[in-house]
Amino acid sequence: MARPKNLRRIDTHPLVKGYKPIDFIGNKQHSLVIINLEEYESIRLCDYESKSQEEAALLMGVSRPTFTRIYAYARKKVAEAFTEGKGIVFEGGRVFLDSDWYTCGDCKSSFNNYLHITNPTCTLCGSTNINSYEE
Amino acid sequence: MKYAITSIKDSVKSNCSSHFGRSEYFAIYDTEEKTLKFIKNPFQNLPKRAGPSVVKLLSSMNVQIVVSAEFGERIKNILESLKIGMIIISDPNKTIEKIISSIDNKH
Repeated sequence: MARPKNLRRIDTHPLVKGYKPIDFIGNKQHSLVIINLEEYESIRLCDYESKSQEEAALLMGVSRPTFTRIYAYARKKVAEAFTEGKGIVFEGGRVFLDSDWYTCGDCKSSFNNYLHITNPTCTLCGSTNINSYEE
Repeated sequence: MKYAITSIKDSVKSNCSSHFGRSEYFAIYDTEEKTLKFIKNPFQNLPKRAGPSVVKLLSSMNVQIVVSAEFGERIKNILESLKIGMIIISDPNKTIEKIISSIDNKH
């Protein structure tokens, strides 16, 4: 049996579920290319945020060769969609969202650092008496 | 800053609901205008996808932080991608009134 894939860390979900071709020339086609969330993330990190593959691999929690493979698949799929006039959907993938949760020592509530600030305070009571939350 | 707090009844003495998508009421609190209003959850009895519909409604009202006793895994992902903050109240005796007073103390 093949070894199960490690979960890849992604920052955010894509803002849209996918893309549709405009005015397809030729016979009407309804085929789609499915881009996994980890592949979307690899394009976002490498091309949009211009990170090196090594940095991007570290951010996603996979090895550099694995990242290169994910990225290669992603580009292959985007190229396929562009040249064959296919739609793109973002779907699936072995991913988890990167969230940092904290518990407040004063009001005993848990909260997430949703703005990704470096020194978070409790979003409910503003206390600095907080601990990193372990599930 | 706008907060949405899940609530069992439409009164400040009630507790936080433990079902985010199927909460009976939402208390919308605006920290700038110090206004509190209760809205009934229109998606409470939806057979499925009640949570995402609620998120859509709340984000259209520019809510930035939601407070509940619990969130589902799917809702956490959606809220996170919309950059809406989440607060989980673990103390079951915390009423809406107490939550709002601690928010007020912070601002």
